[in-house]
Amino acid sequence: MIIAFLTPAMLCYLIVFLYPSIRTFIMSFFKIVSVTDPIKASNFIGFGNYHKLFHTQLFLQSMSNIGKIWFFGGVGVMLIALLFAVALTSGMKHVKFFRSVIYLPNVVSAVAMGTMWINYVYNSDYGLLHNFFKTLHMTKASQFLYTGQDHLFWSMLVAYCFGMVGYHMLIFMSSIEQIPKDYHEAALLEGANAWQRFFHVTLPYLRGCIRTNLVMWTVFTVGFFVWGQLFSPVNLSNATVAPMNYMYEMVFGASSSANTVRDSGAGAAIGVCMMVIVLIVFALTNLITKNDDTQM
Amino acid sequence: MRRRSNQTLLGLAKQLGKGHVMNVPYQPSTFVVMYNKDLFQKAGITSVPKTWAEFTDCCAKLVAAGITPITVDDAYMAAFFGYNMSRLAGVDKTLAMVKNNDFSDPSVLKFGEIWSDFAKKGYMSKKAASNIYPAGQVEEIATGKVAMYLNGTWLPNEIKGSAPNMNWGSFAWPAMDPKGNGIEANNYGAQSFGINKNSKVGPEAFQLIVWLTTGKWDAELAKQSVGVPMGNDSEWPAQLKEAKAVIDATTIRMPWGCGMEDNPEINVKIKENLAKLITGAIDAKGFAAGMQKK
Repeated sequence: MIIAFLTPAMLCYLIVFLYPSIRTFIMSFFKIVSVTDPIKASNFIGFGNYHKLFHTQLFLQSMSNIGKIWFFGGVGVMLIALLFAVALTSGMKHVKFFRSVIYLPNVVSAVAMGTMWINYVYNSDYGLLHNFFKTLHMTKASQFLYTGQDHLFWSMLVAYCFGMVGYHMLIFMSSIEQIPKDYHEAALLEGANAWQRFFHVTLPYLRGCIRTNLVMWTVFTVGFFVWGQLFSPVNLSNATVAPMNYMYEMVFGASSSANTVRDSGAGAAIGVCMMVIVLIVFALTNLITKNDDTQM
Repeated sequence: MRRRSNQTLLGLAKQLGKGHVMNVPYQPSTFVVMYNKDLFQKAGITSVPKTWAEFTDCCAKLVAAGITPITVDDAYMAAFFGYNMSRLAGVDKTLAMVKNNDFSDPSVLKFGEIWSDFAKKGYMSKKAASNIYPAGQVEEIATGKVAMYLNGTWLPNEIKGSAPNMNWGSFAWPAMDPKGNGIEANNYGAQSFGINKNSKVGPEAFQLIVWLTTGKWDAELAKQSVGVPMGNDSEWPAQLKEAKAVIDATTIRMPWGCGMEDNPEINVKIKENLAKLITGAIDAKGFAAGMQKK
């Protein structure tokens, strides 16, 4: 009976998740052109794909890009999300409204968001920031080229992080709301101010939550793809390339008819690298927040 | 079919298929300077530039009339650089540069000098440094702010929604240096139909392709998509009539972008350095140095 209930889910898991993962892992050690090609023993090249990748400038640039996204974006998003979460759980009015507004960008399609940022916010002729600075008579600032190659990465990062804050805020909020009110009351009675209550009551309780947010942020960063495509729609740019964008071109070919090279083995190797990154971060966060005696 | 269709395109298909016509071409196109005739008239330009001196003069006249002469965006930067290099160093040398990822040739510095100067004079739109496709054609060309764009003959069709009545003209990118090629070297190509080698209805599929790419349907597709018909005696759309002369005068066919998009690492170098050159963040020497980074 139990088996009958489990079978559909098991089949889905095996076919849709486990089999492709294992096959990708194996593919990364072979020279394969198309993702549907059979894996021939004669094409075994061991760590050849990995060696080639780590000596390819564009791939290294993409790793550097997601490194910056993970660190700078992560710090920014977590701080702002935490700030919003603490504000919204401090007993203010209209919490539901603010919560929905802050979470709204997560619901809107990334393509729609990206289009809005590129064509409206960052536009140097009639965009939001242009008009804003023009009204303040800051001419030089109003003519700033947000999507120029010098600033493209940071413009993309800001646009991306704007949409990510809501998700992490909700995770923080759900954890903060579970802190027993007694602790805060006890702290208040002892004469603790808001800062002290935050550092000594709220934050320790959030250890497990911070770990969750960190792992989720790493997973999102490693899968960074759509925003890189939006900010460099036709072909790759140093400022916006992420490993997934590079993998997409490797596996499915570039959109330019001039470049017909495909290398699914290298693409699979990139996928394996991304998995390893997430596993490392997960293991590290587990080690750091080992003594988790408070319950989530 | 052979007699009814464009000989140049079929010849190209044969050449690319190593002596056999492996794909049937349709919707041909070429890469030329697409320009706004009304803006040229407003600036007092009476004939299209055929030499680099005339081109520079055109730019000066356009700026004097308050029009930005030319623009580019991130999708077309590689082809822009490739075309310039074919005129400065020649097609063969340019292709070798791409193959060896070696941009130490002095013509690369020359390119930097020319376009750094043009950017300062306002000949190249400042927005070109931040244009994300299709911003160059939608925000600058279609709005009548910029007069020229080194682009494909598909451009009128791509922006016919924003600029339905634009008075289009075209001319070949002029020669720039005696060491390089001139207007006889251009990129042209087409979409094409192929038949899967495992198909069990090959002859029937071929008949369908012939029916689609010749006669009535070829003309209809060209009309609806402001494109070039395949038929030898078909009418070219008004917007692209001048492009016909460019294809007819082409004796050397360059591959797309003169190879600059073949290698994604070269493409990203071009985009990054050309954008910085246009804003003045780097000078010609900085551009050449950036292109030589491996």
